[in-house]
Amino acid sequence: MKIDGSYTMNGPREQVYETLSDPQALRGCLPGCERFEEIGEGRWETTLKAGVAGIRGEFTGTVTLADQKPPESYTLSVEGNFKGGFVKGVGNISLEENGDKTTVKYSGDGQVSGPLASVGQRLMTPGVKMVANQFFRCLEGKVGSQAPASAERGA
Amino acid sequence: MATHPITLTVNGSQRQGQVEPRRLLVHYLRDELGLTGTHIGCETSQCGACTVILNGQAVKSCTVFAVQADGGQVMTIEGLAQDGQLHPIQEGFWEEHGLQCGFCTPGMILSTYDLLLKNPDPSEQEIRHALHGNLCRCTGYQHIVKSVQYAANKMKGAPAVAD
Amino acid sequence: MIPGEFEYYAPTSVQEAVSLLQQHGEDAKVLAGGHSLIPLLKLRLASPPVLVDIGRIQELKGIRRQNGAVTIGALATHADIEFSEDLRGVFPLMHDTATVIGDPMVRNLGTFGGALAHADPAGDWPAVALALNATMRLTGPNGERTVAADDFFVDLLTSAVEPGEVLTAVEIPVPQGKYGTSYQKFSHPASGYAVVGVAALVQMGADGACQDCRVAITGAGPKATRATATEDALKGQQLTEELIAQAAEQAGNGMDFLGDIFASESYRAHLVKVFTKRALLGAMQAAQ
Repeated sequence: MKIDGSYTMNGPREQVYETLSDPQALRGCLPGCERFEEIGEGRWETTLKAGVAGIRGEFTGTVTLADQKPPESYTLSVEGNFKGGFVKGVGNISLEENGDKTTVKYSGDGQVSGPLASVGQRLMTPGVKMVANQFFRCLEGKVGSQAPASAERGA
Repeated sequence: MATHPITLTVNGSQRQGQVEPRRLLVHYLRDELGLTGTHIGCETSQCGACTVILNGQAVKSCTVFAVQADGGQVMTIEGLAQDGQLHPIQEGFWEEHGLQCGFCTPGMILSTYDLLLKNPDPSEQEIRHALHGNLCRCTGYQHIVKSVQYAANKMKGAPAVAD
Repeated sequence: MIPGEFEYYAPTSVQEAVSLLQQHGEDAKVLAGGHSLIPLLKLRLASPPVLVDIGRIQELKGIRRQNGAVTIGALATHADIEFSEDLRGVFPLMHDTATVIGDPMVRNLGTFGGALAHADPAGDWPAVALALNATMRLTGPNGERTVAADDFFVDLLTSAVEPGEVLTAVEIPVPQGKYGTSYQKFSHPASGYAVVGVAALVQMGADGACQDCRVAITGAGPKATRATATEDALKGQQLTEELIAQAAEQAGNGMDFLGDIFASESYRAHLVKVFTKRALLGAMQAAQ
C-alpha cells in the first residue's frame, strides 16, 4: 500500500522540523496515544488507541525516526501489531519552504496483514490519509508554541 | 455475559431459547435447533449460502443476530417441502440439474422463493439479478436459471400455490 | 466468526434510544440494519461494548410524501426504496440506485439511514442525498435538529451524527416543474461498491433552460462531494450534449482522489468525468 500526501502548515521550516521531530509533540499528536517510551536513539515504543469511525483498535509497536537531516527530511518507520493484524511501514517526510509556510510532504509504503487488510483494503488508504491530516493539524498547533524540546525531556 | 430470551417461529413451530446477544441467527438455527440445511459459506455476507426467509424476506442469517429476529418468522430450507412433497422450486432444481455439489442450493432456493413472491414471472435477466447475492462455486448458473424458470412456470400453472 | 461480547438494548422509541446512547457514551454504537456494522463486529475490527438496536422503533420506518417533500424513515431498507412505486414516480433514481446496492438479501435488511450515517466513501446513497438536496433529521439529548446533506458528510466514514444522536429521517424536497434525475455507477465487480458513482438532478425552467442542477460524486474520494464547477457551468444554459460534455470535464476539480489496487487516482479522475456526463445526460433526458 502506497501512501502519498502533503500538508501545508503555518511556520518557518526550522520550527516545523523541530516540532515534527519532538517526542513530546509526537506523543501529544499521535491519535489516542497512551504510551510513548524511548527505547533507543530516535526509537520509541508506543500504544495507540485509534481508529476511524466505529473501526477502533489498539496498536502496540515501535516508531523510529531515522536519517534526520534538519530542517529538510527524516524517515519515519512504524512497526507493530493491532487486533486486526500486523502493520509495517516506512515513510519519508520532507519539508519545503512555501513562503512563510512550510509544506510537509510524506510518501511511504506500508504492509498490513490480517482481516483489516483483506476486507478493509479499500478504506485503508483514505483512512491513513485522514489520520495523517489529523496528526499534522495537531502538530501545526504546536509549532513555535512550545519550549525547546530538550527543556521538556524528562517531564 | 447476560443472555436474552428469544421466541422465534421456525418453519411453523414456535421455538424458545436463551441466547447471548452476539449469537448469529445462522449459529442459532444450526447449533441450537439442528437445522443444518442452512449453510455457512463465506461468513462475510457475500456468498448467500446462509440465506433464510425472515418475516417474508430473504436475508443472510450470518449477518443477523438471533436477538434481532426475536418475535419473527423464520423459514429455512427444511420448511419448504410440505408433507413429503417437494416445493416447486425444489422440484425445479431437481428437474433442471440446478445443483452439483449442493452447497449453495439452500440459499439459491430461498433467494428464488423471495424473488417469486415479489415477481412471479421474472425474465432471465431478473432471475440473474435476483440471484446476484448467491455464489455457486460449481459455476452451475445456467442450470440454476433454468431451475428458477421451471419453478416460476410450475407455480403459475398450479393455482394452489399461486397467490 | 463470532463477534466480541457486547451488551444489547432494543429500545422501542427514539427517546429511549437517545437516553441509552447518552448513558453509555462512547461505548455505545447504534445498530440499524447491521449490514455495515455486523461484518465489522464479526472481524472484530469494531468491538463496541454496547449495541443499541434501533430496529424495533416503528416511528423510524416508512416512506411518506407530504407538503412537496418525500420523507424517508431512517429504517427504510434499500428494498423498501427499490419497491416503492410512489418514490419511483417522483425520483426514478432512488429506484435505480437501490437496485445496484449489494444484493437482494443485503437490500432486504440494509437501511437508508444506516448507510448515510455510516458515510462509506463508496456508498451510493450519499451521492443521491447530495444531488437531491436532502435534509437529515437527527434527535439527540438536546432535542431535534436538521442538517443539510451538504454539511452531513464530514470525512471518511464520518457523518455529522454526534455521539448520542440518532438519524431519524431524511427529507427530500420534490422540485417544481420539469426535472430529471439519474444515478450512474461503475461498480466494483466483486464488492458491488461504487468505484465511481455520480448522481444528478437537472431542473428545467419555463424557458427550457437549466434552472438548477446538482451533481454529486461518490467512490472517488474520502467522502461524497458535489461537483459545483460542473453545476455552475450548466445553470441558466440551454442544455446540449456538447455543453454537458464540456461541463463534465470540470467534475472532480480539486478533489482528493483515491487510488487503490483496483483503480488508480488518474483512472478514478477519468471515470468521474465520464460518469458525470452520463448522469447529466440521463437527467436531462428524463427532464424533457
